[in-house]
Amino acid sequence: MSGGIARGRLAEERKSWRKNHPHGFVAKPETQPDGTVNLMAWHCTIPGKLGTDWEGGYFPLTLNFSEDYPSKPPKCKFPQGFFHPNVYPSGTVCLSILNEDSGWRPAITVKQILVGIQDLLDQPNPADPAQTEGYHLFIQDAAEYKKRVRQQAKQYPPLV
Amino acid sequence: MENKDNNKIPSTEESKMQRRCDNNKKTPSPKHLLLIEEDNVREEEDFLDEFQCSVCLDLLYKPVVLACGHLSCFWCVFHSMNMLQESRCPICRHLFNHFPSVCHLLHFLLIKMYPIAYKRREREVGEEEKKIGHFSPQFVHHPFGSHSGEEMDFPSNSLHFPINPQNKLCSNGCFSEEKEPSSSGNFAKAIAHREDNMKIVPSTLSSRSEGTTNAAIENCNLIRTESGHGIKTQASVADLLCAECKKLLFRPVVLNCGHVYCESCIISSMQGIPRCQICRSLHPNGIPSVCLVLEKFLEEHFSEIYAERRQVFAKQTDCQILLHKSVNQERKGVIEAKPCSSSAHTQQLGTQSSSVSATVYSSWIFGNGPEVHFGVGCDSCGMIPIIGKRYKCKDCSEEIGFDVCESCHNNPSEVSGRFNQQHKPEHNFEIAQPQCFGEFIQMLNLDHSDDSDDDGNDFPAPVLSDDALQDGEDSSNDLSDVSTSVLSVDVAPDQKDDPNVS
Repeated sequence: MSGGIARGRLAEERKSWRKNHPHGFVAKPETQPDGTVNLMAWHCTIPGKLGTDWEGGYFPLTLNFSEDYPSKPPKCKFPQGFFHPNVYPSGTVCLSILNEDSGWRPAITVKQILVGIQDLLDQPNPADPAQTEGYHLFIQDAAEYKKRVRQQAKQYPPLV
Repeated sequence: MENKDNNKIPSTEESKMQRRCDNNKKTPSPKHLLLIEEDNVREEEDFLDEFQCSVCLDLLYKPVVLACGHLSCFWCVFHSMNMLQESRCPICRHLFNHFPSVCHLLHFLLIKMYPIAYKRREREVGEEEKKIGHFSPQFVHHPFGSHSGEEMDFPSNSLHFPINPQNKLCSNGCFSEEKEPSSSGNFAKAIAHREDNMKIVPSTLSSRSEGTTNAAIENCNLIRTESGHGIKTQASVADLLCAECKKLLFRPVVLNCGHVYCESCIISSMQGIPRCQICRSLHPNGIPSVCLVLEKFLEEHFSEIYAERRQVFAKQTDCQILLHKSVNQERKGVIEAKPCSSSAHTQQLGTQSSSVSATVYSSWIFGNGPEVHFGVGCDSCGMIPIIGKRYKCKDCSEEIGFDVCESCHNNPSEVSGRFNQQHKPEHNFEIAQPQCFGEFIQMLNLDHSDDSDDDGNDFPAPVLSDDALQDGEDSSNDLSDVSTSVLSVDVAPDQKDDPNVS
């Protein structure tokens, strides 16, 4: 039913990203083995915010868009086992603006998603935990949580 | 004028590949390629950021303005709507339960300002519409919005621009009959036609019948400036008049029927329910918010006249502040009352302008509310889904059908039709029974089996172990998605309430 605007919109998003995007971020549609570009899956990098424990980390994130985009939000995934209270063990990000039923609006762009997730990194929402480890440490052991976050930032150094 | 340099990105290998890949996947081809294929290669106009649809990120096409004042393309609004309950604005998530008609004023303004880009949009959307078999309203040559006196005599489907078989077969998906001579001529005519309707230019009849580009343009009183590759047409005050006071719009609001007024004109003429002076249709749910995109455009392009209007308005309101305040308060009351609007409130506003409470949609499922026709909208007032009795046209052959709600059936209005159905006033209606909720859900699941690719993640679910399991499944196995998503509907509420988070 959805008149297939997903690709058209993503092409426009790609264009506007190339024109201007926040510093340190990467967002690129996937290139398939045969050299064609798959607009429905984007490989992105989110830099940890300066001045936070996440600083220095460049965290890889995949956005998977459905044919119903932008009526439906993309699925955003960090690598499996990513340490953060609001990231599922599979890596899927749990964030209100990415939830069709609570905060998603078709007007939200890839840029806004990435900046939103960058904010989430340092400001986890303990009301909506998605993994045991990150949640428990965040609630119970601030020092250990900090240590783990810094460790993870080192695990994802800049690509260049 | 700040421009959106749409076509000025260096075309690297990657973006070329991107386009090729687009084409392979049966999407509307990117404009660049289409333009090159065109016989008359003319560079598309850059359009203002304001007129970029924030859903498809392209030039607005057949813009629809919602009650919150945000606007988006006809299809972009439609596709982001919820067929089961009230929908949310794709820009601000403001709730609405009526799908407004296309705003003609903006439609023709965009045709005038960006003829080439708008033409491309028409072509692309037309192709897409042919594919899906449903058509947005066509009104290029339809006499709309003018004959305020005669309007009542119009048949109830007067907005439906008839498609004749020739047009349907038209290869490029454009439905305008007279597109042959030249595209710009066609648009100019449309503009001339429109101004004629607005009774701004009193004698364009001859130009309309002759249909020559020159005559139309002269009569249109267009200000034209040469710029770069194409001729840029500037909007004139005549394109942006309030339907009530016939002056330049000040704080424009767009009603459900798509007609545009000054906010003050609607407030002052309002006695209870806002009613459009042109088509006489009622506007549901109180006074709409100012369309800020349009206001910004007015302020920037007609700054002097707009400032004048502001001054005049300020003087007027000085003595009306008290009145105005009370209206505002009333309006706030309407908004606040929305989530739990009582039936008394609804009655007070009249059936056609009822603000629907969210509970109505679910209460019917449990057998204690008015019936709700999931997935069916009223082709007259745009209410979707229809609440109460549903009248289905027995004679409309279009797949999408033609339905009206009870109040529209009892008070036929000439603003009608959302998908260009060929509904005639002599057609007969029958009362249709609502589809069972379960059936509808099943239908949805079949339709969208590919998009329910998420498991419990859609629900804020603090149960860690279960969710971890589900999430793990999801990442490994996509085939089981439909069943898990159905399951998760049942599972999620429990998870939400589970106190054993730690």
